[in-house]
Amino acid sequence: MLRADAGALAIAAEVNAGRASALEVTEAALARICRVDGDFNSFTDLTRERALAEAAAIDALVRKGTPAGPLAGVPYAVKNLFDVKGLTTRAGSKINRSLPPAAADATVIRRLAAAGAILVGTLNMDEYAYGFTTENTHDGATRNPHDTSRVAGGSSGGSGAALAAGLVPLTLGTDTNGSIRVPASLCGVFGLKPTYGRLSRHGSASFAASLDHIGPLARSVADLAAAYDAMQGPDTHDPACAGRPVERATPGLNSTIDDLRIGILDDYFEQNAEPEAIDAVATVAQSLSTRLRVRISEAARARAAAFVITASEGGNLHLSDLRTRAADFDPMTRDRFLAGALIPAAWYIQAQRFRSWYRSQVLRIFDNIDILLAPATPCSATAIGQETMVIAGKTVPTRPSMGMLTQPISFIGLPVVVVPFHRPGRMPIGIQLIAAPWREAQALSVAAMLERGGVVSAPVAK
Amino acid sequence: MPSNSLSRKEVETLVDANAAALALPLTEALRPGVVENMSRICTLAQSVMEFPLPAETEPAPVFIHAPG
Repeated sequence: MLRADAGALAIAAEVNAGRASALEVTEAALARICRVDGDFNSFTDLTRERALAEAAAIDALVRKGTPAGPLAGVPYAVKNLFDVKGLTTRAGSKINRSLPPAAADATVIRRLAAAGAILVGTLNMDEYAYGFTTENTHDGATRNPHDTSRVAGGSSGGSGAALAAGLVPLTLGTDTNGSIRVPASLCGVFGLKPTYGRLSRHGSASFAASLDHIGPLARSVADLAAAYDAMQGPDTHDPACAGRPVERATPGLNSTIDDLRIGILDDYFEQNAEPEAIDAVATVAQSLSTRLRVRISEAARARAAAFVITASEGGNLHLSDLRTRAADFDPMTRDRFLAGALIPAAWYIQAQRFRSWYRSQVLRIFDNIDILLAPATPCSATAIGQETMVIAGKTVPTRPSMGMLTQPISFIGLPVVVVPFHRPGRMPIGIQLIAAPWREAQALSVAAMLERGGVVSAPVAK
Repeated sequence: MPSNSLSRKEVETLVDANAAALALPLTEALRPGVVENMSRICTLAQSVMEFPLPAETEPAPVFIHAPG
């Protein structure tokens, strides 16, 4: 008998063995969402008919003795900027609601379907992904299941909250400057932002194409790795998709990490973090037996450059709508997109040139290091509507500052696993495990080791 | 703050000029929020602009033809 908070691989094992019905698992997930998501506002659409049809098809395969896939019967949901056939891709906006329904599923949704997973719905986000808190004026704020007066993070807030609330065991998000890692941190779940170009973005609404990534969130490392593996592979429809062959991370999850060289990022990554974030990193570092401190030069400038590139590309992408219907944008994003559209070319080009320089500097660090540790967010979840916060003694605007520690890393597309650190009676907070390009498997194996040791975990919020 | 940040007036001039160049209408209601956001972007951009880069440093994105 499967528990309501059963993980993805546990569900798949039971379904594939014929001990659980994909249809029953799906119906239970849909019922749970309908019963409790009103408290969290993580879902924006349910794909009930599709989900029931997919689940029935999985059960039919199992009855025939045909392999139904490594994620057979696993209910999952996706940020509402992914194309789902027959559904309008809202991307957190009001403007997109008038678009025709998507003609086809996004590539990664097709691949998860091929693995047997069951799409149950789409999830709330900041409008057009321009935010770190999922306080969406059109669809409402997503509330953190650990404390519903607090934000779930963003822009993939629904993706984090749906997991923390125990509604589904697997979700998909996107990350341009931190939008998988921030919700993973604030909601206390695992998240993976792979190397830029690893997973196909085809069929997902763009924000800043230079920086956009897609990735999974889950409540265990094994589930995270299984989803990541199922989605890998070349896709010529995404110009940035590197065409690398599938490099499965699941087989190596329990391999030894004794030979990995691990360091703690200091300087910028400590100066812009509260004690709770620094202490979480210290606890993880201690369990990994490392005290090595590593400095990334010019991290603040990297964050600035990422900001300029994001604003410029985002503003350009929406220029037509900004000209004709600016009032239909979310007030939380509108002025930011407008300003971004007006950025002088010299600023944008210089930011992209600085990116080349910064990448070469950081990659040199990985000559001597395998994994870098840093907080995923400067602090744990803030209150919904909170305009400012104090970080290391400085008052900063809450929303843009929540991604300060993620931006300098995604700026050069390094793969990152966020592991969630829970403390009794306190809000969770995440730690970034940052690897060299294409070394997702190493970061995942470190995450798995921390999880086995009980240092990190993703329990459903009580 | 970077020494060559723009003044408020200069940011307003930049916003108005670029909005006109892009045929992007800015109502009086929208303008203050856009100017405020551009001020923020300007401060960040100046920190990037003032960093000396070797002349041979190319922009990170590289144009590659699809396989034939």
